[in-house]
Amino acid sequence: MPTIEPQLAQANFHGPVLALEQVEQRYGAFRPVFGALDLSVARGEFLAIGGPPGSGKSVLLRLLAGLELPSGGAIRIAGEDLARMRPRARAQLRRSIGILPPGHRLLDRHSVLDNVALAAWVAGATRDDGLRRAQAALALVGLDLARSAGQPCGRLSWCQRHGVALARALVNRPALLLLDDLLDPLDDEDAQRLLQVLDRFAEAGVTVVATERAAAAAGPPPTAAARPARAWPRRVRRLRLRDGRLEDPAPGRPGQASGPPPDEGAAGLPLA
Amino acid sequence: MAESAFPINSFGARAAALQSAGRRILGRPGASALAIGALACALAGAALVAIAAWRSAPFEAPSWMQAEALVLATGAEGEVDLAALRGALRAALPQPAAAVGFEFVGRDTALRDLAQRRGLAGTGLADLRPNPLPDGFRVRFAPGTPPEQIDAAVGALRRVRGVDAVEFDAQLVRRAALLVALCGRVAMLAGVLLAATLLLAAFVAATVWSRAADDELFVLHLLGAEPAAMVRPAAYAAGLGVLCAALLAWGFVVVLAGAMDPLAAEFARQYGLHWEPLALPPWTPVPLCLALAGAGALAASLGLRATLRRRLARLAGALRR
Repeated sequence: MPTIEPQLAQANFHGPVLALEQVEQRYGAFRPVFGALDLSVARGEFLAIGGPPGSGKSVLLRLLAGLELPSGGAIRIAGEDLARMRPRARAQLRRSIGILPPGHRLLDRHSVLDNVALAAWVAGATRDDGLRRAQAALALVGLDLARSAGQPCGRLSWCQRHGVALARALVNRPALLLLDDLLDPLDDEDAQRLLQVLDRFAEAGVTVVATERAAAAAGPPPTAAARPARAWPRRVRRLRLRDGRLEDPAPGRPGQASGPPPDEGAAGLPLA
Repeated sequence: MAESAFPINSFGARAAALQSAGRRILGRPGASALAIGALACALAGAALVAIAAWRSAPFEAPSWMQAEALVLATGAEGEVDLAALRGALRAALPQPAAAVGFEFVGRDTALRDLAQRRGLAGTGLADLRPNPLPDGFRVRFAPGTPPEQIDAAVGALRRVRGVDAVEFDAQLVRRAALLVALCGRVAMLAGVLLAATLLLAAFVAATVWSRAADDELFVLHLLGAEPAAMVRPAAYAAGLGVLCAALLAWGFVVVLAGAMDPLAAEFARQYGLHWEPLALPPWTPVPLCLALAGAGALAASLGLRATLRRRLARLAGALRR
């Protein structure tokens, strides 16, 4: 049985895995989402970005995944400017990234196993290897293989779909995980278990960027203290996206939004 | 489980894409047979129209449309020096370049020719014994020779010593020329319309296919699939389908052309024209069908890529909302 436990990849790039330089995104002249974002995320860092619905968290993740290009500024992944990459190179890059998209984007007519294995097949795995890796990924996120592996995804609950989409994000042992609304549909126990899994990935050198939804109303930012049952691992760096700006809800802690990453230069991103 | 537009478990490699294309065709034998049959009919129609247009070109003077005069020699068999007569006929022509052939016609052939040309076949004329006709020559005029020149040439041939009669109807030849020019233009118009229809059908098929596969397209895009890998199975399936249809269409064309060739020959005979059936080398269908299959795969690939770009842009917009 193969494992998709995180593997510490060889360091072949020294610098932030993710770097946003004055990134702007606007849809038409009157629909600015955010402007002049600066951010640096190091290898093995676990970053959680919170914010109310509509604040641009999902847009930011789509930009990081290369699914959209920013209106201004530069997004660098392992030093490569996404906007300067050819579409084919961006497609290849996405195979090294595990993406949990909003709405999960599963193929409802296909089985759970096929949905997860598809990511491996796209990345060049053989049929059998893809299926074995899919089984391992599903086991890792806690889905009951015996019951659900052969089921069409259209018959799953929202929570189960979340698990399948997450397993699909993990199946290629990605160097970078981009997870939208990571904990939203999960109960506290599942959320806790999932965070532990992701924390293990981060410890092994996988960079994790997750978003979490917070109440739209003005109020205290979502912190670990506000949700004790969903305590993020201690090493998670938390930022808040509000009014088009990234803010640190707990200033003074290490890992400022625009500051240098804590372990910059320590490791690299295996994009090969 | 319902079938997807994508064979998702054989992604990327060309061999796997070819396999999945084959499975896609064989997996739905009824629909595939119907689609291939319909395409074969369209291709056969297009091929027949193309052949008709080609054979009619240039419309004013198709290469095969050579007006033909039957020159009957005076006297009984053995009494005429046919070699000398051939020379005299050539020399009598006001414009020798207009005549492209002097073919000897035996008296039996001449009788049969005469009977058929005058619509007297079946009246017993061809069986007349003894055959009263002498030997003669069939004189063919170059395509596009003006009717006045042919009339003048026929008049000159009639005056040659040793010539009993010259059988030629200029009016019939003029009518045939007009008819062929009309048919050629109609065939060309029909060919253009048919080609446009086939292109439109291919475009609509690509659009319908990509709409049916919206979710799959976006998921594959999300997972980092390259457009080439995304469209490859469908392009190969299109190539294989077109190859099968082209081979079938070739069969239709051979059968239909075989059935129509005697009619065309009869038409030519009736109008005093020389007809040569279309003779293609036996290996002709191989490169033709392979070229069509390649063109089908290429068209499907380009159409799907173009559609893919539009669909992905629209899907990304939908994701934003």
